[in-house]
Amino acid sequence: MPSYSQINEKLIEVTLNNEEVFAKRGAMISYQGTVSFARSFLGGSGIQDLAMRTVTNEGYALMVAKGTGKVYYGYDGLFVNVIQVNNETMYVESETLLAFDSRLRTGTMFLGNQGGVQGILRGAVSGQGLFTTTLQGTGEIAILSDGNAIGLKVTPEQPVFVDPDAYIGHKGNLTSNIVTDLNWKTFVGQTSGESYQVKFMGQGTVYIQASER
Amino acid sequence: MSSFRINTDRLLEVGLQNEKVMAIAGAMVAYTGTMKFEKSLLGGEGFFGALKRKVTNEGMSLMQTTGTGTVYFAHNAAEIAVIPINNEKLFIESSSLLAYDAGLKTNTAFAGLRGATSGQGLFTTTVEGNGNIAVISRGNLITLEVSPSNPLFVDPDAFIGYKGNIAQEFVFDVNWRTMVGQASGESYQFKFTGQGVVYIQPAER
Repeated sequence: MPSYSQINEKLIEVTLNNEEVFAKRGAMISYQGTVSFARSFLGGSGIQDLAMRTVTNEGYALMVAKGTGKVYYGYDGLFVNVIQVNNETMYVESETLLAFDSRLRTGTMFLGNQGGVQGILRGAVSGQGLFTTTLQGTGEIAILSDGNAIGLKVTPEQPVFVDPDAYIGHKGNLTSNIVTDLNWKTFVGQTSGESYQVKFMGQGTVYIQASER
Repeated sequence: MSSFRINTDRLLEVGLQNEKVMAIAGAMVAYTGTMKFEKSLLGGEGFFGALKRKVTNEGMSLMQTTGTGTVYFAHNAAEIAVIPINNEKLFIESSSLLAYDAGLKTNTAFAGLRGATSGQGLFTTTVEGNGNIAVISRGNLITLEVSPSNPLFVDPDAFIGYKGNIAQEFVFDVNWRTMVGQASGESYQFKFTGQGVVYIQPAER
């Protein structure tokens, strides 16, 4: 089973023992050992999933590294965060996905499935598309963020509100909807810059970055 | 009083108990509890203060956050530092300001001729009272002490702000090499004399 370790905040090391790991194309920085790289068409999931990716624009360019040794990944000077999932589903924007392996099952989810009309609206206003990538199972996922990413715990008693532009992903059993904060000032062109947020409810973790897209 | 805490280098966490905090518009990344965000039309400076900001170009677009809970602020993944102010006056470039206690009073002040050459404008923002202010910098904020026996020279491009009883002047280091186009890249500096602290960043604008 591939192991992930953080070299510094912007670089990770993945150790392979005759195994394979999927990563964002072009993110390999160096490697040791016998590792071969190939473009991955299916990204570990089937034809149907690939077709869905193509249509939904959640397509990510993946490469697969196979072999025995250590591979180092980093991308564009962005921060790398390794997130552990334990029999859960992680939702993440495909462009922030850096590396994962075949222990996790990938899929594409229509945001509308998750919150009806609200979900569709959420994708449309935040400019992040109407579809998101899901990774399911037990294992590690490396994701990219601009500035450190932090995970905010969500509990049934304490919902968390996030700025859609700072949102990178979430895991657990969460539902979301969009909340607006409009007042007369918004209509005279004096907005606070925070007119809508995504509200997460349930039990899980929401990840945000220290910067707004 | 609202509490300011740095959660990782680039994220500011502010705890509010039915209180107010001012921040640069759009800097909120997340919150828990009940919060309301409103554009602050006059920035708490009254009509005259707002007008002065407009004319002096030390403009900043502020929002007021009111409520109970925790609110997180960040800006472009820049490093954040919290400076406590105890009955003092802090001089700071408005572009370095992220958030401050609503109890603090802000104003604009004439910064002297130095602004014209450094490209930071002729005016600067002052913050006074009792409370916390969060500033953003490229790289970690560096605090340098100034004492009467030890004046400090600072590159205008790295300068962020200062507090205390300090006088600033502009000094030139021009010699024949500068004149023939062989400048060292450090032809002018700010000189700070007196007693207080100066804040700089390890990057030049």
